[in-house]
Amino acid sequence: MEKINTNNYEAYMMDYLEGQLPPEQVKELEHFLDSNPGLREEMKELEQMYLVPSEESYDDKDGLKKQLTLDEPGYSHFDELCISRVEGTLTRSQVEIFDRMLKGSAERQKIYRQYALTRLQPDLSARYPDKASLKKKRPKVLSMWGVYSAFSLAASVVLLVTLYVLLPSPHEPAIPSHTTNAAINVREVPVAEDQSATNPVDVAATIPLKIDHKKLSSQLIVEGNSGRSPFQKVAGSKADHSEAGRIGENPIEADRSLASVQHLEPQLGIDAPGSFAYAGLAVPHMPGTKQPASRIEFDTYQKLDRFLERRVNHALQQRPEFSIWDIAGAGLKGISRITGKELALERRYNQQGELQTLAFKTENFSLSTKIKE
Amino acid sequence: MTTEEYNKCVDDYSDNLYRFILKNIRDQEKARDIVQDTFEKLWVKAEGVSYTKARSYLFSAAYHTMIDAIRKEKRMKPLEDVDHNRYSYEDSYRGLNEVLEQALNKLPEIQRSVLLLRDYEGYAYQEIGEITGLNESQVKVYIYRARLSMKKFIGSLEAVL
Repeated sequence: MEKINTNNYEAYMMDYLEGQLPPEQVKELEHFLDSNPGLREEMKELEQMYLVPSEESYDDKDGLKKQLTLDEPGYSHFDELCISRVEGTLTRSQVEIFDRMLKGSAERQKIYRQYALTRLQPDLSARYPDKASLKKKRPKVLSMWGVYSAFSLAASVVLLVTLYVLLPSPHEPAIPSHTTNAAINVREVPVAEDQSATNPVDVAATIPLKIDHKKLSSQLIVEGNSGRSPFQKVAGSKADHSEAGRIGENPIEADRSLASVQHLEPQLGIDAPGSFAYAGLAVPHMPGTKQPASRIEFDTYQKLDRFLERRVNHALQQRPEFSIWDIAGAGLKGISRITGKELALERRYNQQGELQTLAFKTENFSLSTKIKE
Repeated sequence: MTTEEYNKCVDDYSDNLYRFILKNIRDQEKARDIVQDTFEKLWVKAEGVSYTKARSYLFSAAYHTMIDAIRKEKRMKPLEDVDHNRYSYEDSYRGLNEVLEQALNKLPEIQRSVLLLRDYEGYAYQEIGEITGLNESQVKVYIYRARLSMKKFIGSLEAVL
């Protein structure tokens, strides 16, 4: 709004008189009027032009109101009262008046009875016939966390029990004595057809193998291709040390065709604590050749160590970390073996190696679930 | 609304709903279907409807389902199947209940519905308005007219009874 001047002061005055002028502009207007006394007089005249309502009032308001205490209500009005009475919308005083109206007239009572009949009462015998079909069963919600926890706990317990049952006590020899005794001593020695052609084994330095006993046994199968029976060489116990500690003292006379180690599959075994095991394999010199007799001798422990390391590394490469499911799967496998029941925990992975689906299968039922990403 | 609350609604309101629909359309099979549809609608909307609002929701859904069914039926009904006796006073009545039944049946659908909601279920005008989509004044007028019509019908048959 522009500043007050002699060309626009009327608008400011009107707003002021109607109470519409903002306070800051009121001050501005006052300042303007102070500098223009003639205009202040003009504004006073304008103020007198506004009409103020008188305080006169109508004295007979009650006479204008409609009363329920009509002695002669019109028919339609009585109908309205009856319906209001049936509807329960009359006030207590109105009900009293209405009741007085009824007492004086049989005709009105009859009319009201008819209206009262229009208030319907439900037929309680009419019932919905099949409520059960409308009801819903609560969907069973399995908390996957609970399931995981339960499986994990169960699997862990089972795994421990399985290990306890399957693994012998430290005081019991796990490997039969004959097996243990067979260690290192090669009892079966394939005999060459031509004994004369067979040179004594050229014994190289034989290092007794001390297997720190965590119950390792090594089974080396050397198979000849001459049709002779293979022989076994198994790491033995300390008891065999004197006899089998050095191959050279107990030479192996092998077939000339003995050439390759067909299979090398270390197996975990359990021996008496504190025992020592020794292993060695000597392949005799092949007659007729200038080559010295081959001799393979190795440290079983180191071999096993390397083997296990490779296996573990391979496993870790395949799956970089062990999950709770590995333990659970092992536990269920243990249960399956003990009980003879089919139990399995199957997992499916996507191409990225992430676990996608988990299925718990038994002979009677199976559960499967998708694992959230 | 939980499953338990939903099932409680079935126990508490299915009969009332069935009576309301049955009185309106007088066909048990259709009334059953409408009640079933209505509860299915409630189940679908169960998460968004609280137990305290379930009753109004049920009656509102049932009312609108019923109106749709009536309109559909009217469109499909051949002219010769129209119940001409509906507007006749020549029926014979065996008792007051039948008279009231007939009086109710002769009301227009909207009047019958609001009257049933009022008398059977005890709904307030405002609640009836919410269920039927009418305002409070309209509800009052329809109820007034319904009672007036029924009273006239009853009065006209009083001599017969």
